[in-house]
Amino acid sequence: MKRKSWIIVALVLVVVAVLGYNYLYQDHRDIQQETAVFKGTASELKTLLTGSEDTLSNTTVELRGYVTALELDGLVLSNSVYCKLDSIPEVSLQENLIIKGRVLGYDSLFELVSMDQCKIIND
Amino acid sequence: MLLLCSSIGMAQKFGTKAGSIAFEASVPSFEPVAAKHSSVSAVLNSDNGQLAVLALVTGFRFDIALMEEHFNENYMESEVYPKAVLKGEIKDFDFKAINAGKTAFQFSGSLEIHGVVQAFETELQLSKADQDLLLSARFALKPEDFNIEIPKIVAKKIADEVWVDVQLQLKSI
Repeated sequence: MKRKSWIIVALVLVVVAVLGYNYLYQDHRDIQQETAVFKGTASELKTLLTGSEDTLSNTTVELRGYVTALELDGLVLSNSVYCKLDSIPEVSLQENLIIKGRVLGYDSLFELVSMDQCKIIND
Repeated sequence: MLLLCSSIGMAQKFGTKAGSIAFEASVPSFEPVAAKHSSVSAVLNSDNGQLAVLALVTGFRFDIALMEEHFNENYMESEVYPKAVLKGEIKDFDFKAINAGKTAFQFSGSLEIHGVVQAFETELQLSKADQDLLLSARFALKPEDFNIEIPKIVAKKIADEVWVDVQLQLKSI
């Protein structure tokens, strides 16, 4: 009987340890697996973020637009949104793209919405 | 006339949208408290040394997801205070004096974090690489100066001084 209760205590401790570990070291968000909170054009997103209230920061969005600038590790979509990409794809200026990523907020220095963890998801 | 126009025309500016700011507030034998932001914006006016750096706080990435969540929700309150802004002037800025080697300058201005604006001075280094200007700076900040409360229960795991490392590759814009 005594032995049985020890086994139960040990099992409970193991379960608590595993749950605790999984809570402390949970995975990062996978933006590409999340459902987009906003779907629309890059310029529509800019209008929303320069408006009275920003409710889209730190959310996942899916944007349509065309490339207006290519940079070291990202691109500018429709002169409205800077998308930081993990790898630089072979795209050209004026090319139409659909991009999914996370909104960081409005960058008042460059007057662009800033996004990270972006990926081109054109069909 | 064209030459005259170009020489007195728009101020020469350098900028980046992909600068990096890393910080570390680790205490030995505890979990490292460190994060990096690689989408920092900055603009430098090379006529007068005016510098502005903007980091959207949600862009700081930690190795540990839960730490990142607590940083945004409990400490920086990034929904309420989304921006960290450094603004001011690089004293005695002389574009021509900067070369491939690092030259030290003094920066004087303000630093806004967590909605608190503080007067701020630090040394920074500038060098030229091809057509770009490379700016680097390292300084220590105290969370309490910016009304960032560290709960007692975790205070031992977070250093009193947070070391901040700024690296900007500024291109002509």
